[in-house]
Amino acid sequence: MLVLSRKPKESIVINGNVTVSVLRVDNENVRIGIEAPIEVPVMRQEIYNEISQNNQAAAGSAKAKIKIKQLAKN
Amino acid sequence: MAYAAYDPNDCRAMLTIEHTIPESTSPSAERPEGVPLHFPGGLLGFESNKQFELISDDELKPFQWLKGLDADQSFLVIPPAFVVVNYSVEISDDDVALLGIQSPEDAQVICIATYHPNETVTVNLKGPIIFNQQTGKARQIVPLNAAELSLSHPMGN
Repeated sequence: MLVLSRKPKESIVINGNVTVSVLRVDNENVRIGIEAPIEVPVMRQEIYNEISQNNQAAAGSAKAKIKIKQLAKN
Repeated sequence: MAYAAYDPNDCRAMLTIEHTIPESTSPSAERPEGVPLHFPGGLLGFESNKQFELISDDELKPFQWLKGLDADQSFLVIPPAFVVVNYSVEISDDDVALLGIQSPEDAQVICIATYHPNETVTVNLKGPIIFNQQTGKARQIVPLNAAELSLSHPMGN
C-alpha cells in the first residue's frame, strides 16, 4: 500500500485520470473528493464488498436452483 | 437456411439448402435467443464478466435468467416492481451518458436475486442493474440513496 500524507486542499493523482482530494478534516472525519472518468466506478469500500459478496452468493444460488429444477424434471 | 445462386446455364451450379434443426436438450420453454447485454465495467467484484444474455423462461416468470457468457456465472434477476412498491432509482448523469440513454423508456432496471436453502428469495435493491434496451449497454450501479436500500430484500413480503 502506498501511504502519503496530505493536508486539506491537497490531492493525489492515480493513473493520470483519477484525482483524490482532501477537502476537510474534522476530529473523526475526512471529507474526500474524487474526480474520475465516468466509466470508473467509485464507492465506499464496505458497499463494494457487500455487493460483490452478494453477487457471488447469488450466482451460486442460481446455479443450485437451476440444477434442482432440471433434476425435478427428469 | 442458406442457398447458393442457381445459374441455369451452369450445370455445375448447385442449389444448396441447409436446414439447421435447433438443438434442444432441455424440455423447458427456454428460448435460446436472449437479449444480449454488455457491461463495460462488468459486475461489482467480477469486472471481467462483461457479456451476458438476458433470457426469458416461462417457468421462471417473473424472474429472468441473466446468463454469463464470459464466465460460468449466471444470475436470476427480477424487475424491482415485482418486489417493492415505490422503488425509485436515481440514475446519475454519468450513468445516462455511459449507457447512451436518450429517453426514460430506454432505461430498464433488474435486480439480482438470491435463493436461500430454506426456499426463500431475497433481492438486491442496493446494487441494481440498469440497462439501455435500445443498445444493450448495462451497468450495476450503486444509487445515491444506497444507504437506505436493502441488499437482501425478502420477496413475498
